Amino acid sequence: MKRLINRRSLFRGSSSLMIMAILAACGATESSTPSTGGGNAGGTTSAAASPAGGTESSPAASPMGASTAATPAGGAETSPSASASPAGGTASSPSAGGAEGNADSAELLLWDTETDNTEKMDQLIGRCSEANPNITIRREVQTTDQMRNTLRTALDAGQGPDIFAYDTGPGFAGVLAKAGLLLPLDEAYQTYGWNDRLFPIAKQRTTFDGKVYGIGNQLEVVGVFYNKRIFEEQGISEPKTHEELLQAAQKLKGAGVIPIAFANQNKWPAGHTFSVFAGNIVGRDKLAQAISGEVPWDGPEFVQAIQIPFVEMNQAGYFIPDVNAVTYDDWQTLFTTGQAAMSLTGTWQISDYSNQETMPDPVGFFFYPPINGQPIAPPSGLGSGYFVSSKTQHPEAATKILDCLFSEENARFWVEEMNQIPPVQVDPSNFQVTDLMRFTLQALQEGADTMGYNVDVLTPENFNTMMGDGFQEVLAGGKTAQQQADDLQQAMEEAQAQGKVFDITE
Amino acid sequence: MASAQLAKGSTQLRRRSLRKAMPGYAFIAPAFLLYAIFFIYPFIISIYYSFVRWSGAGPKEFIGLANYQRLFSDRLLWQALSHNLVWVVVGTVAPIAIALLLGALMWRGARGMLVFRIIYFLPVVLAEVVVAIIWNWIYHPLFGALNELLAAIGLGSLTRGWLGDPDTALIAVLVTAIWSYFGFAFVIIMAGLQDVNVDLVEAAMIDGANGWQRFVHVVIPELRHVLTMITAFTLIGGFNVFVIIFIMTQGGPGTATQVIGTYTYRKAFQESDIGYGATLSLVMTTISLVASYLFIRLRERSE
Repeated sequence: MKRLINRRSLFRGSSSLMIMAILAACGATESSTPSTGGGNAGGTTSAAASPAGGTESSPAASPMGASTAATPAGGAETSPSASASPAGGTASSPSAGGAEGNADSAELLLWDTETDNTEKMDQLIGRCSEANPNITIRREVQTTDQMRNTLRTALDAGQGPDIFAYDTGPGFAGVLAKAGLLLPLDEAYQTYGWNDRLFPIAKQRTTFDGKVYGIGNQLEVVGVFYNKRIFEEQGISEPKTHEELLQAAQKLKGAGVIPIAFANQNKWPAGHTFSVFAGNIVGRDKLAQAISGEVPWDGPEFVQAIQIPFVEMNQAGYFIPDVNAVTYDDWQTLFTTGQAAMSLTGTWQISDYSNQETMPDPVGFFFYPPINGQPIAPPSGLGSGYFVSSKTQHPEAATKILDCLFSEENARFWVEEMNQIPPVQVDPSNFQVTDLMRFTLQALQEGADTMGYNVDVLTPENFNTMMGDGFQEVLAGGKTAQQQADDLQQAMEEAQAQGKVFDITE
Repeated sequence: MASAQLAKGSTQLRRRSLRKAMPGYAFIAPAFLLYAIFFIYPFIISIYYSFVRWSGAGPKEFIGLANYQRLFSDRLLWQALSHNLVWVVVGTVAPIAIALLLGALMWRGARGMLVFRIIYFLPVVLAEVVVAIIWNWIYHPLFGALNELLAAIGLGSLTRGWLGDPDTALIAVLVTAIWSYFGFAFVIIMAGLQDVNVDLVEAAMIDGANGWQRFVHVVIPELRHVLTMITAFTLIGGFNVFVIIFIMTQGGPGTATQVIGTYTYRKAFQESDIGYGATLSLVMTTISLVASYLFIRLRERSE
C-alpha cells in the first residue's frame, strides 16, 4: 500500500536500447554466475550479487556494514549476527557446540525495504540471530522500487534472497507464487502456531490458489487525519456523516483553509480515495466480489464512488487546487504546515504526523464517515509481507527466522521502535506509543474483520494503471465517472481473460 | 602454373594482412565485446521476447505474432505515437529556429559572446533528470516561478497547474526539452557559421539581397550539413524520449503526455507484460531507424 517514491531509483534509460538492455538483462541472468542465495554447498560466503539496479548507489542500498559475517565452512564457531547492530551484533558468542552447530548452521540472505528504519531493523535481526545462534543472517536493504525491479529476476535466476519483504498483492507476491518461486508455509503456520498468534489478514492476503506463502506485515488503514487546532478554531467536531464532512469542508473553504489535502499527481493516491468511497458505498462484501471479478465495476454504486470525490467534491473546491499537478509530498507539506485541515491517507503517515518537528499542530484521526447511511468499510491492507524463496537451501532456518520476526516480544519492537503495525495480536495498552498510534492499533485489533479493501493492492496491474490514468482524467474533467467505470470493468475483463484476477471472497 | 603461383601469393598476402590486422582486432575486441553484450545480445533477445507472453517470472509462452497483431488495435499506442509526432516536429523546429536566430544575431561577433555561448550551452550540460526536476519546480502550481511571474505581471488568470492540465501538459514538457536542447543546436550552428563563405554573402549583398534574403538563400543553404545532423539527432531523440516525461508527468495527467517510451515502460515493467513491452521497444527502434534513414537519404538526394 505504501509507495516509497524514490527519485534516485527512477528508471533512467532514455533510449529504446536501454529498455532492450534491461529486457535482456532479465533473460541474461538466467544462465549466469554462481548462486549467492541459500548458502552454497561448501559454506562459502560468496559476495552477494549486488541487487538493486546496478549503478544506482543510493546509500540505503548498501546494508549497514552487514553481510560480512563470514561463516567458515565447517567451522566450529558461528558468529551469531549478521548485522553490526549495537544490540546483538557485536557480542560474538560462539555457537553452542561445534559438531551440533555444524549440522544445523545456515546462512540466510535477507532482503528488506526498511530504508527509513535500517538501524532498527539491524537491531531486530540482531535479536533473531541471538535467539538462533546457528543461523547467520546477511541483511541487504533496498527501496521498494529497487525490490520491485530486481527481486523477480533474482529469484528466477536462483540468486535471490532466502527471506524477503515484498508487496503482498496478486500482482506481486501472487505472480511469484504462480511462478513457483515461493515456499508454501502452510506447515509452518501449523508448527509455530501462527494461526493463533497472527491476524487472519496476514494469512489471507498471502494465500494464493489455496496455499499460504508468507506473513503479511505493516497493517495499514486509510482514514482521515485532521488538524485539531484548525478544527477547534473553526468550531468543527469530528463529522459523523458524509454530509457533515461536506459542511465542515465548506466552512473551512470559507475560512481560506484547504479543506482536504488530496492531490493526485502521483496517480496512486486516487486509488486509495476510491477505495474509501467504494468501501463505504458498496460495502465490504460487494467490494471483495468486484475485486474478484464477480460483480461488475460499471454499476451505479461504483460510478457514485467515482462521482462523489473526483467530480463533486473536486468541483466544490474541497481539495488542493490543480489537483493533478500537486504531488503527494506537497500534500504532506500543506497538511503538516497547517494550510490544509484534513488529510485522507493511510496510517503509514503516523510517524510523521506525530512528530512535533514535522507536524507542530496536534493531529486527530477518524474513519471516513458513512455515506447514505451505509456501514463504513475503511480500506485496510498490508504494506508488505515476508516470504521465503522456494529455492532456499535452508527452509527450516528461514521459517524459524520468520517466527522470530513476528514473535510477541518483537511485535512490540515493530510498534515502538519502527512505527509499524505487525500482524501479531497484542495488547497495546502498555506500549510506549503516541495516542495516534495507540488509537490505530486498537482500531485495527478490534475492527480487523470489518475493514474494507485497498483496491490497488489486490487488483491486477492493468486495472491499476487504468485507475491511475482514468481518475486523473476524471479529475481534469475530460472523462465522466461512468466512462471511467466502464473502462475499469473492461480492464477487469481483460485481466480475467489472462487469468490474472484473484478470488479474495471468503 | 602462373595462376597457381598467383593463388599462393594471394593466400600469403591474405595471411600476412591478417597477421597485420590482428593487433587491430585485439584493440577493438574489448569495445566490441561490450557492444555485443549490451547491444547485440539484448537486441536479439528482445526479438525473441516479442514472440512470447511472459510476466517476467515463470514460463514463457510462445504466441507467434499475437503481440504484433495487438499493436494495431492498441488505441493508447496510437495516442502515444501522435504525441511523439508532435514532439518530433515541434522539438526539431523550435530549437533549430531559436539557435538560428541567436546564431544570426551573434555571427558577426557580439560583445561578451563567450558568456552568451556558455549561458546557452549550460542547460545541455545538466543531466536530463536535473532539468526535469528544476522545471517541475518552475511549473509547480503552488509555489512555481512561472505562476508567480504571471501573477506579478497581471496575467494571474493564466496561472494553472501546467503539468496537471491535459491541455498544457505536453507542451509544457516539450518546452522543457527545447530549453535543454537548443544550446546544443546553437553551438553546432555557430560552428557551422564559421565555415560559411563570406564572399558569397557579400556577393549577394552587392546583388541587392536584403538581410533576410541573404540569410534564407545564402547562409542557411551553407549550413545544410549541420542542419541535417541536428535534425537526425532530434528525430531519433523525439521517438526515444523517456526520462524527461517519466520524471515530470509519468505520462499523465491521464495519458496526455504518454509517449511510446513511457508506454513501453508501463507495459513491460508496471504491467509485467514483458513480451508486449519488447514488441513496443522494437517498434520504437524501427521507427527511429526508418525515420532517420529516410531523412538522410532525402537530404542526400536533394544535393
